[in-house]
Amino acid sequence: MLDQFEGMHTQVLGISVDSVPCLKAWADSLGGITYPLLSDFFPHGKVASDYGVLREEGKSERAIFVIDKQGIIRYVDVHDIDEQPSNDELFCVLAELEPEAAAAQQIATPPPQPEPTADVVLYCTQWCPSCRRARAYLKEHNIEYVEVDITRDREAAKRVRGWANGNETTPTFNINGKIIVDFRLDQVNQALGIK
Amino acid sequence: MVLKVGQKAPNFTMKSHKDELVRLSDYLGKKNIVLAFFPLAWTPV
Repeated sequence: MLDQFEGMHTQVLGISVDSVPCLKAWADSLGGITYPLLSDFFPHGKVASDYGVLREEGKSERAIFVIDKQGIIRYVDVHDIDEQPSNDELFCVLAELEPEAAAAQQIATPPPQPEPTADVVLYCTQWCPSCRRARAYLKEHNIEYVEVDITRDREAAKRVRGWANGNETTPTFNINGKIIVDFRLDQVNQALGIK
Repeated sequence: MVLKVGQKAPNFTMKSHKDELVRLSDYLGKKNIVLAFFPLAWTPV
């Protein structure tokens, strides 16, 4: 798995608020970790705070940032703290940054999909909590919709960035041509004709 | 607030578990970075 990251000209860095001795002991307990585990211990949680992922309790969220070679953030995943993020999705994003390397590595990424023509299209990620609420809301009101996973479909991510000021905001709705960025209940209800 | 796609990634300097000093700027122009924050060592998922 790490070879694949190397093949994509990508360095994996782990980071937590644990001290270096603690990280060392943990890495040893796991039989050694080849990629660097960085200690955000002193000043406590400063880097987590800079990235906006320091929790009140003084530890960080379980989050992944993909940073390109120009130092720009190209993807953010703030995951459920009790779940492990998926690597497959990460490679979709890396393939976008390094298309030749992806081809050389035969990294299989989903083929580009045309923009759906359904009445209600929901642009989401697997991990975003507001997306879960959006799905539940549409289901509750028996609204049929087509879901697009913007982590996997990077063309769709580009469309969302176009609508959302450069952000990959989810959920983003396309309801009969009306674009609603973020789960704005009043706008969604109006577009769907729900009182 | 969590940083967003398109923003500049703040530079950092931290010690790694291998006792090496690691800076984000070390990788500029060379490698993409997957920066994986995890809450605490030994916390099971």
